[in-house]
Parts: sequence; C-alpha cells; structure tokens
Amino acid sequence: MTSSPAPEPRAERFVRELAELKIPDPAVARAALWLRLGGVLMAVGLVLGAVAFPLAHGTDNSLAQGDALAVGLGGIAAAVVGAALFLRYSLTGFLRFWLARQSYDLELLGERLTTTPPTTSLPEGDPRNGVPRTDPAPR
Amino acid sequence: MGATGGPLLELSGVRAAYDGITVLHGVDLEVGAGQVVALLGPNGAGKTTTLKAAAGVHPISGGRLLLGGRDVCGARAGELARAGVCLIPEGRGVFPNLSVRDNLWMMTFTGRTREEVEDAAYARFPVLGDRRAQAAGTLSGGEQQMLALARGLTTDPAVLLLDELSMGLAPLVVADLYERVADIAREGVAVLVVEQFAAAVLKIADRAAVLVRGRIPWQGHPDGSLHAELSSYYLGSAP
Repeated sequence: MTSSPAPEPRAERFVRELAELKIPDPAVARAALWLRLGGVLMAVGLVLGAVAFPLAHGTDNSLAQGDALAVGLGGIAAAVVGAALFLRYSLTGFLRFWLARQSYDLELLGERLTTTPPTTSLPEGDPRNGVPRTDPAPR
Repeated sequence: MGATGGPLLELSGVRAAYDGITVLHGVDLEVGAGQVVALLGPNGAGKTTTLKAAAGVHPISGGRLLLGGRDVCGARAGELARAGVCLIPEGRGVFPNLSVRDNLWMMTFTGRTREEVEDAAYARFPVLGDRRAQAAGTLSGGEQQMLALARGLTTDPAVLLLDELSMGLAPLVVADLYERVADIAREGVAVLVVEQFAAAVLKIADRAAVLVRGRIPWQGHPDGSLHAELSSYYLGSAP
C-alpha cells in the first residue's frame, strides 16, 4: 500500500497561489492611456487643422473665417501636444527596451571577459601558435 | 508566520480615503499564520476601512498591501478572495429570508458540493445543524454570527478578516464565538479581528493594535500596559 503525499499546508498554498496571480500594474495602464490620448490628440489636431483651411476659404464672412482660424490653431495646438505625449510615452517604452538590451549585452560581455582563460602563461608541453612541440624533454 | 517565514498579511504605510478625505494615514500591521491580531479603537478610527483595504475591497491610496510576501496592490478583491482572503463584514451579511441550509447552499460557488459545505459547517457549529430548516433571520444573533463564520470558512481561508464580531451579542455568546475563532487560528489561519469592545478579543489575541484617527499609536502584546492605555486612547486623552 502506498502512502499518499502529505497535504500542502494552507499558508504555503496561499503563498503559491498569490505568486501565480497576475496583477495588472496601474503605472503601465496609465502610460498606455497617455500614449493612446497622445495618438488621438495628434490625429484629431491634424484633421481640425486640415478642415479649417476649406472652412476659412469657403466663406467671405470675416467672423466665420475667424472661427475657422481658431479651429485651425486649436487643431495645431492639439496636434503638437498630442505628438509630444505620443513621443514621450512611445520613446519611454523604446528606450527602456534599449537600455535593458544594452545592460544585457554588457553583462554578457563582462561574463565572457572574466571566464576567458589567460593565454600568456601556457604550461609546458602545450602547443604554441598551433604547432605542437616535438621535444618532450623537460627544461 | 507564513510559509515564507514572513507574515501572511502585511499592511505597510497604508493610506486610504473616501472622496478625497483621507481616513488612514499610514497604517502598519502584520498578521502571521496561526496568529490572532486584534485591531481596537473607538468609533470612526478607520478600523473597518483597514479591513476593507486588507481584503482589497477598498482601494488604497498609498503604502503597500502584502499577502504572503507579495505586493497585491491593484489586485481585484475577487482574486484575493479566491486565493484565500475572507472578509466577514459587520452585520453578519446572512440572507434573513433564506433557511440556514440555503444560506450555506450559496457557498457552493467555491466548487464544493452542498453536502460538503453543510457537513463542514455542522461539524464546526452543531447548533446550525439543529436549525438547518429555520430562516436565518429568526436565529439568535450569536447563531447568525456562527452562520456567517461557517459560510466564510467554506472558502478555506488563509487570512480571515472579522469585523465587529461582538456587535449586538451577549458577553457569554461573544466569549464562545471568540473561542471558535481561536480554534480557527490554531489551524494555521491568520486572523485579524476588528473590535470596538476589547475585553473579549484580548483573551485570545496574540497581538493587539490600537487605531486612533487613522493611525496606530500602539501595538504589541496585549498585557496590563494596554489595558491602562486603552481607556485614554478611547477617551481621547492620549497624544
């Protein structure tokens, strides 16, 4: 008869289940929101800027032309702000990745340099310059 | 202490607010596996908010909430409940028009069968077995509290959060209930009890903390010094 394994203590199971829990990072969600907002502002700003031109040209009324100019300027401002937001949050993501990659490469290089054996003091009897010694007598 | 050697529940500098009004100003508290920690304090001190924050029901605006050593800020209350955090709120939260049996039936969402839930509840609280067909609203206060505890325990909690267990109950009933809570803690469950009336819970508590105006000015082993200071905290003469 085989003995069944001892049940896992509740506290240990609790810690394990919590470790497996996927918790969304609120900072990441906020960054994604700003990035999306930047993209939307940029697109809306460009559209408003483009629409303002035919609006201003399509009328002789100076008041309506003033309104169209205001819409155009607002669009440009929105596009500038949106582009700044978009660049800031997309660049952050890219630079974070680049930095992580850079530090990984540096670590790899460091490991390689520290683990390479020294080549200056080869023991007696070892081949030098790829040519094996023919005289085995000790000196 | 937990499996990792640390506490199962840890609040570190926890701040919480309602509509921008801060009610917890950096609460630090730890509960290990098998421990009973009593959180005492006068009305409006933030005790219930602390429990809600610990259960993930109320969002925290600062500090860290650690369960089993892991920062779980941002986790949904349902996920924490599934992992093993059980909050028994003030006022028991039983369905008064349903029978004891049907109240227990509600807990089959945990995946256990109706028979398993009932057997576990009646084994721990035999009086519920005698009243199984009775409407929960017609039970005595102590029996309703037992039903609430039984329902909570069917979730197999690792952390049990109890809010004002003694509310509206006779002292003898309260003493009996706290004995049951001590039994639950001996099974390795971390128990945090919020209580306005200190005497009953301090008999079983391993540690106590006093919460006043959202801060913990005292915590430690409940001995004579706590009894001496408690009245001054309640009456507002302590700093």
